Amino acid sequence: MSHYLPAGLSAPMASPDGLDAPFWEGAMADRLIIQKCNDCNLWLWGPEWICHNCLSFDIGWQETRPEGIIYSWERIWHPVHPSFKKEDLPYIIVLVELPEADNVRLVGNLLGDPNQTVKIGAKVKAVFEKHNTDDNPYALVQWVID
Amino acid sequence: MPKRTHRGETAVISTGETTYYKRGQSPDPEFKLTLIAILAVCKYAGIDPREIDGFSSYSNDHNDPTRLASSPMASPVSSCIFGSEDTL
Repeated sequence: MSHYLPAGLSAPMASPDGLDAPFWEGAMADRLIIQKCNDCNLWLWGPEWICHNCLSFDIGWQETRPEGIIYSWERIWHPVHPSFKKEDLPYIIVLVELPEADNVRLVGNLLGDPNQTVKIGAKVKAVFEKHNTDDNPYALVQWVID
Repeated sequence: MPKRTHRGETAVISTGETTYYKRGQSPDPEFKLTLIAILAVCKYAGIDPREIDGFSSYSNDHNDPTRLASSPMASPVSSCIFGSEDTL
């Protein structure tokens, strides 16, 4: 599978305390798995030790449908890392809201033409972009217009 | 001249603890211990964590105010950090 951003960028890793590991494991298995409070049933993201709604420490993980809507977006023209060459620009970052999961938001790239017209509120679906490096395989949750 | 002291004004004093462990023996990470202590502080003081509007941290820890603000306090938190070079 081709990758949206150029090689050479630092790879994401599960945090040392293991808090966000289920998310990364889920992405490797083509599943969108995020946090949900076991006490008040509120979906939570980014990952937390405590529910910001009811202050419970009993937070579980649950799969949600990998579909959302674009809450915000930006077309990036500046090479923010030395790995970006002229032909890698621009690219698009989207903030995607998950209506099925209490409207939590995830950050990702919007795949496809980097010069495409982007509309806030547009429906998108997740693409699990695999990076099968030997020492640290991982998958990024990216998005494409649905 | 901005006021630089709260001397003579109202203060809420409280304290909270977690279970004590020997170094490296805690089943919970440092950040979760901080949250437990903050909840204990609030309970003893009789306030809701959301009423906290400031936080100061000491030394080289992993409990920076912006991270805490998104957890139990869930409100804008003004912050000051003492002696933490990696987060300043």
